[in-house]
Amino acid sequence: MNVRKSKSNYFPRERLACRCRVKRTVSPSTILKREQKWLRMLNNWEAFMSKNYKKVRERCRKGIPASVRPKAWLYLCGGQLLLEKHPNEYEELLQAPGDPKCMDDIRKDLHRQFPYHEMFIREEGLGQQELFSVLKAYSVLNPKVGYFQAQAPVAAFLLMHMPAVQAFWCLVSISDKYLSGYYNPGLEVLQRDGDILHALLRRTAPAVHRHLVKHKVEPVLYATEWFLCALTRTLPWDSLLRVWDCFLCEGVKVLFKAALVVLAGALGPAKVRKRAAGLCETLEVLRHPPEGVLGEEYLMYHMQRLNLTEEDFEFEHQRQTARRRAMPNRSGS
Amino acid sequence: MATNVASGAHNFKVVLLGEGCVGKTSLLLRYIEDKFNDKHLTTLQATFLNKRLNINGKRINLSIWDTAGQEKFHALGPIYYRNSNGAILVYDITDEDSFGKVKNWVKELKKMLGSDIVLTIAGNKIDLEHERTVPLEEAESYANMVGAKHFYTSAKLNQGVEDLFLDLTKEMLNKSEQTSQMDVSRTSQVLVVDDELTPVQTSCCSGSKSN
Repeated sequence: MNVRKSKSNYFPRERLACRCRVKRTVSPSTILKREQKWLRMLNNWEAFMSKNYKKVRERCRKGIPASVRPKAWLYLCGGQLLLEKHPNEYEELLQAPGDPKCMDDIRKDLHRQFPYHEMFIREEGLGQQELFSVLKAYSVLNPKVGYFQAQAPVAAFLLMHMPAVQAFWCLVSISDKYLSGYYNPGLEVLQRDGDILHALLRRTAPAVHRHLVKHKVEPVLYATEWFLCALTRTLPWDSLLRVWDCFLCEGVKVLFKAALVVLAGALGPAKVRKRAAGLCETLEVLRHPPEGVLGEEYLMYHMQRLNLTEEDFEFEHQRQTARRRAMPNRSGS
Repeated sequence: MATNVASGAHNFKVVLLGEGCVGKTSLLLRYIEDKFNDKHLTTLQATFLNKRLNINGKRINLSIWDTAGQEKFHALGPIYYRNSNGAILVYDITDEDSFGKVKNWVKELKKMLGSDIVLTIAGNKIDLEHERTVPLEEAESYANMVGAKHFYTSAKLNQGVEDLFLDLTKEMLNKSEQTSQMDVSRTSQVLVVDDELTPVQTSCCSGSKSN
């Protein structure tokens, strides 16, 4: 547990201010170069992923060019593989009647995802129809989960980038692999990951962690939506795209990193903590973190500077899993 | 769970529970901001809103928790209803299943919190009266049976919302005054007052400053 001092305990205001105001503009020639690199990569995907994953990761961290992003996401999350393996399955799943309760639940939620986005603004519009299809197909494919409300924003976000059949396979991969267990009954995995988040926060921002413990601010009280929806409802658009570039490449730990940066950014300044001296006050701060903290540059910069290794994640994962197992009724008490 | 703090204000925690899409968020939004918005998001992250009111010169702070409705979130229920002084169980008068869900919540709350919590049932969406599927008498007699008040509301048309919250607040006030009277008689007999017990009573947002 080598916690390096200084660096990421919290991020002073001044630095925050200057970092987030300057939005780094990428020159057209750089974008062009990146696009070509990505196209080359996508044409030799298997080889890159098996032999040069670090390169892929590095390029994801820099941000995937908008023009290739949809295809890159489809490849990164394994949606493409699933699609090739089951070319007609999506259409077949749509033919099934589906569980009536699930269908009902999905229908109730269609108009409540990104309701101001042009794709979803119209009731019965194409966007809402596709959203229904994607969610229905998933519920038929995986009846154990059926439909979980948190899947709707994820599916809607995917539909903004790609055709329904691709969005479907991405959703399958995200639900079953990236966020595996999040949508199971009992929400055990979510609660465990909340514990992991706090354990990691204790290392990266001890003062913020102390504050949360003191005021009994449990992770479920603010991070439920962050995790369940993979930040799709939390971050502004540009930041969300960049975080997802990394999320689909590196997995769920990217969500943890983003959460840690937001926590430290929002509650880092002692002044803020002093003002938010209570459960509700603290939740209020976390419900609307300062814009700068959610900014693309600030977020990406600090996520990469978090002093956490793969082993740290693994260690906490094991520890919190064991802890939960030792007290099975914790959540119900 | 008495909530008399030194300042004389009462802090009450209220939780809204009920099936998805019955209008929990809409009721709260109508009550707090007097707004209705049919383009809001599904509630996944439970959140709270504060309301201050004054009843017969008594200052009251309500912190009202709005929760996610889908059954899958059930496991998180206790986190939100523990230490609550009141609960509003919402159903949609056009959706029989949602009324069944109210019954489940009543059972669970009675089991976990006994009579510490004031229960109120709200049949929402009375603007859709012509589509009603939950019979009037059934809902009211059920509420009677479990000792809960029953209200009909429409967040959309702003009907019954104010009454619902006001009545619940009065009930919570009564209950807290009864308990604090009991506490007084008890402490006068036992003389030892454990200071450490005091902070436990505050549910949430105790002594909250003006926002």
